[in-house]
Amino acid sequence: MKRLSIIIAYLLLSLTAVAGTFTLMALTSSTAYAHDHDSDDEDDNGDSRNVNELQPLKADGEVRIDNLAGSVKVLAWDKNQVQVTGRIGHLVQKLDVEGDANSLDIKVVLPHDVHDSDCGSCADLQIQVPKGARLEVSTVSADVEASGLTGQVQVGTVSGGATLSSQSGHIDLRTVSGDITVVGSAKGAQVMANSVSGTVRLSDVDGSVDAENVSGEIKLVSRRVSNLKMSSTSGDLGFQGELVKGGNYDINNVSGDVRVSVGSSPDARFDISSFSGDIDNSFGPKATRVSKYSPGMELHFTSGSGGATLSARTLSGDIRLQN
Amino acid sequence: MQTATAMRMPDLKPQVADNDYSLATRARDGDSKAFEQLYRRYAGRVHAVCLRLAGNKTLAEECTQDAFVKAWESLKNFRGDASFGTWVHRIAVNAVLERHRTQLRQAAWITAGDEELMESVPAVDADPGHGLDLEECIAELPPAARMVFVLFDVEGHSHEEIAGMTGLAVGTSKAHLHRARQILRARLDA
Amino acid sequence: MNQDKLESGLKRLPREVQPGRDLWPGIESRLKARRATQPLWAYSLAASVLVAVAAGGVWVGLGMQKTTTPQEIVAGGANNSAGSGPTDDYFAQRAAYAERSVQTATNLAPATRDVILKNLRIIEGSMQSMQAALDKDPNNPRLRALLFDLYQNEARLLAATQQAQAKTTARNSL
Repeated sequence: MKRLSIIIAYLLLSLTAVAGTFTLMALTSSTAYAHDHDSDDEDDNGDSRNVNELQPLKADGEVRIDNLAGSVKVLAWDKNQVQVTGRIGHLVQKLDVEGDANSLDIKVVLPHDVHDSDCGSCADLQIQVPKGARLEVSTVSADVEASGLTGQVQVGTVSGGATLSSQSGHIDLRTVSGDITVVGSAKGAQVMANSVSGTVRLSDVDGSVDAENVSGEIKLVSRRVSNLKMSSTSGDLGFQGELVKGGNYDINNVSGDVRVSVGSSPDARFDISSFSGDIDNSFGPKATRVSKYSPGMELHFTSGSGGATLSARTLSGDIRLQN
Repeated sequence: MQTATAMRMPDLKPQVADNDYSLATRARDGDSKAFEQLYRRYAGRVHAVCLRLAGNKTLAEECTQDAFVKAWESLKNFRGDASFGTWVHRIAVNAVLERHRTQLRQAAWITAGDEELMESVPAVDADPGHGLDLEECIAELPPAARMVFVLFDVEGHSHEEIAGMTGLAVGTSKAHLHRARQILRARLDA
Repeated sequence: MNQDKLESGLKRLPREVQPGRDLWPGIESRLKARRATQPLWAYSLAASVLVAVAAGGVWVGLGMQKTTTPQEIVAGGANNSAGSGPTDDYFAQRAAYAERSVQTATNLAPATRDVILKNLRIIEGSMQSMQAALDKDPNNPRLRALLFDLYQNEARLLAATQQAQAKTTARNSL
């Protein structure tokens, strides 16, 4: 028993070290000016209010949600109604639900002088919407999660995360430092994911993808993207999947790395170049110098019948092409 | 939206657990016949969770065997405060998840969970199921979605626990669960 | 409310599923009555050390940004003598202009502003080196394509700055 408690003490100590490390990293990483919802700030005992609103909305109606801080969770259902439940902090003036059966605006209203770092101004909302509804959410630090929708989804935050699991045909998620996670889409969807320093993860999407970042990483895993534009300045870019016949893939980076993994026998023409980064190609052909005046390397080759085109370019980041 | 309720596994009745404890004590001292009785008692339960997590009969059988072998080797850690069944069940779940992690590490740089999303997923408008049963549908889910679904809706773990067990982020775990339920509903209701 | 098929299916899911064949013989052959060769505490100590080292490694790794490379780029650019393209002075002015527009985005969180400025400098440094190479080899399409990428990247960065600024401003006037 004593031995066991020593072991547990060791493990707890190292886990504390790890937890402490990650907490410090999180505190020094980029976050928006608005502070995140911190449950320790909650002094709402009895002062926060519950909300419960039910409004009719046609099957493909518009829902717009505006919430500064806290959380927004959108779930799909089969009813032609929108239900808003949850809690609003004691500094929140009110929850406004306005509009008609075509379009509803759900807004957390704060008094002018409220400093959003105090979580009396937070609202945690769960919103059920018709699954074909068109959704637009705008927050600053509130995390946004939405699932089950088939209509278009647009989310904009500053430091809040945006997580979407859907069969939507039109996805547009933008953050400054919040992480973006997309799982699934309709066939032939248009997917846009844009961040400055958040991590962007997209998987199982079908159609056109435009993913851009500045310093955060982007990772795309999908066999059914036919059109890709991926761009960053210093974040690493990764694409794992298959190249669709006739597909067009454009990946460019400045100082971040690019890693592309597209199966053992892709059917594509590859155009790879880097100004001062390394190019590593596991398909055989080696990179050659671009110009005698620059350290740059380039690599152009065709694999299979060359049905798709993939272009990857960096300034100083490394490019790795693997199967 | 209706939420699927988690199926919670109640612990076994005390007298059976006591019996387990005496069997386990004998097995720890090298009595493989006693261990065989424990195997007979819990193989079904362990194999069920392995099969649902792995989606594949062969892998499920391997993992079931691995779990019992591991249990044998760490019998000295089993103190009888949970039922043997619960204990070996936990070992089995870790074994299946560990298998996936090893495979993924071989794909040099993809983190655990992403590569598995590559499995082709039937589109919502694909051929309607012909009275497919739920087990089949679960087996056909993309790996990460399947594992999260089984751990959450069948085994009753929370997203935080699942995050700890699989290495996925909590948000990603939730996204996979929603996706799994979506796909399952589409196939079952078709 | 009616239960959907998923819920009812889950409720009916059997707790046990027997394997298709008897796995015991396979298990029995693998059983060995062996004890751990090392005391448990040695393993857990090793594990704790590994965890602590890994955590430290992650911290250091994350702290080391790719931004160390711009020095190389700028140094590389400086090795080439000024050519017939835009002078270094032009790039310096351009960089100053871009940075000023970021500095005026006062609503951005300081950390975000730092990220943007840092990345702007990466871009500006790269442009100088790129232009120097192009001066020597003006018709090289690869070099031109890379320089064009840089211009696009910078434009995107400044647009993202403005959007982030605007979003926070709009919030302030709610």
